[in-house]
Amino acid sequence: MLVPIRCFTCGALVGDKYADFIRRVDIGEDPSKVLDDLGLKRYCCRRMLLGGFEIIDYQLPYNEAVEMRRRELLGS
Amino acid sequence: MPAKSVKVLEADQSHVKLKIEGFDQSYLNSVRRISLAELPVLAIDDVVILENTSPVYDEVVAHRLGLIPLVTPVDKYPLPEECDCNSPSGCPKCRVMIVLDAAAANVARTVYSGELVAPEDPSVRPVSDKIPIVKLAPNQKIKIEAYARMGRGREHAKWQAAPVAVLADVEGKEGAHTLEVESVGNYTAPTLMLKSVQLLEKEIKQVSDGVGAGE
Repeated sequence: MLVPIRCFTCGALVGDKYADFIRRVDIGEDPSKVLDDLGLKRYCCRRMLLGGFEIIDYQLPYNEAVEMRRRELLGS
Repeated sequence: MPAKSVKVLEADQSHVKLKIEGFDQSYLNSVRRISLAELPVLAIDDVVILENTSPVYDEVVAHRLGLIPLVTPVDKYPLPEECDCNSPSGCPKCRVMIVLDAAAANVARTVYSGELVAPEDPSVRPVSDKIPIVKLAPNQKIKIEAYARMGRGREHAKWQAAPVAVLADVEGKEGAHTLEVESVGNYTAPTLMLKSVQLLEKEIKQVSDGVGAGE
């Protein structure tokens, strides 16, 4: 649902680098250079970010809509 | 076998590389394996979920909390089985309370590891403040009381202090090895290396004491 905290294979910390990675790749940087920059040198850790995907971003709008509706009903 | 010598080739906070001459490979391999799976570090082990209205299940949150590497004060906390409290749930000497209290008001937001607080011992903190724990939609809350304790990598990967430790031969030179150890951040890499050697020493001493007692 959220990006994994540690690399599945070696156990190194990767979770704190995901946001940076996505932000920099989105503005057009080369993913392999960004991964080098973030200090991920083994391919086990690199695939954690390359294959990472946050499904929770698809869930949150529903929770948000429910909350807005609740406030609407309470407000009226 | 060449004369015994240890030379530091590379060393920083997160990794150490040593060139070691004159030591048996089996001895160096013990050091390597101890740094991987035996050296105790702190990790969250007990989680009390007081409130969780986030879309992430309680057990998933607990699992994520466990995997967050914690900066571990050297020699401050014993393993629970070596603590004199003899309690499976631990005592203030062998565990650290960590609390998380976060809510989203009007906009969705991410709760990061930086929001974890250890009120009893501020020297215990996450290695990074930017690890996402959960995401909250407006009006969602998460309130957690967690307990960190010392443990070993062989029990669970969350207690693993070193993701990689590599012992290699130096080509063309007999009896020379390089030992490279990386740290997750619980200890700095030089401390991790030192503590691993001390742990091996301690265990060998236990064996020799046992042999001495049998004489």
